[in-house]
Amino acid sequence: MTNKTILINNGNLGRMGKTMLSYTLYKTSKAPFKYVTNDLENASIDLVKNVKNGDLFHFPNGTEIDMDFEDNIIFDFGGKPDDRLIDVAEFVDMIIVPISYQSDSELELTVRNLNTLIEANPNIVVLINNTDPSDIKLVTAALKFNPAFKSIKILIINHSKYIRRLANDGLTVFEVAERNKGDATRLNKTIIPQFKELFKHLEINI
Amino acid sequence: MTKLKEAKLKKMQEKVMQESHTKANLTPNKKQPNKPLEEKRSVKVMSNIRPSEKEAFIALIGRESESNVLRDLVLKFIERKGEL
Repeated sequence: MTNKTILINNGNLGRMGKTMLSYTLYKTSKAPFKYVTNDLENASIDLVKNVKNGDLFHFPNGTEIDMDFEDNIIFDFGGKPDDRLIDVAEFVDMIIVPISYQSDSELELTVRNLNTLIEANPNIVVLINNTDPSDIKLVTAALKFNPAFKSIKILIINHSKYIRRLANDGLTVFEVAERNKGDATRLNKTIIPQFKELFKHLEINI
Repeated sequence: MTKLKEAKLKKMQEKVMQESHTKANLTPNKKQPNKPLEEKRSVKVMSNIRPSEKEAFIALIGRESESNVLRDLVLKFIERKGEL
């Protein structure tokens, strides 16, 4: 089996759900992943505590990314300018661009970031998450209006209080569902099927 | 879709198209690789000639510098692999 490499980034936009998504992928995938970040300090969850010893690599901007590239790797990059971002984008199999839409400013910056990333690697998924349900269709339609983005896959993870459990308790939605039947019933309606659709698109078994 | 939503979508689509040619600089501090330095004209080729030959040479080169004319001669000589 060939290794899988994924970059999760939306330029310098913070609080878009990069670490939530990266960690959920890392924790849920059957196949082991290495977790590479450029910013441990501002991550929404404690990666040192939650990622297994030996799986976590921290390469701050200005350092050389020096590791075994034969493994499955998640690159959780962003929040800060990083000189190596385009090199990483060119290297990976797929880029996930998460957007948490609150206003048109996130949309505008995401369009600019997509214009740059698509040149490095056209294999892009835009993941609309933590967004008001009435805005999800608008963001999708607005992005698809640009012919350059027609080939970009757009997936959705609905806004959910369960996603907050990751930052608060270090639990992914799958772990929350495992612990409580009532939560599982609610999560299995929408959130978990949405994550599963993303994993299916990434060809990641869970 | 309500009228308000249509208006909102139109505005968002306009913003997407407005930004369609703007790229984010995602590696703002990355140094551009230095261009290889161009070889400079720093080596001299010298030859002693008679004063009369020098005068005839100066009369022919007009406003061009001696150095440039001699360089062209040397380059042509190299191009023709030593044949005058």
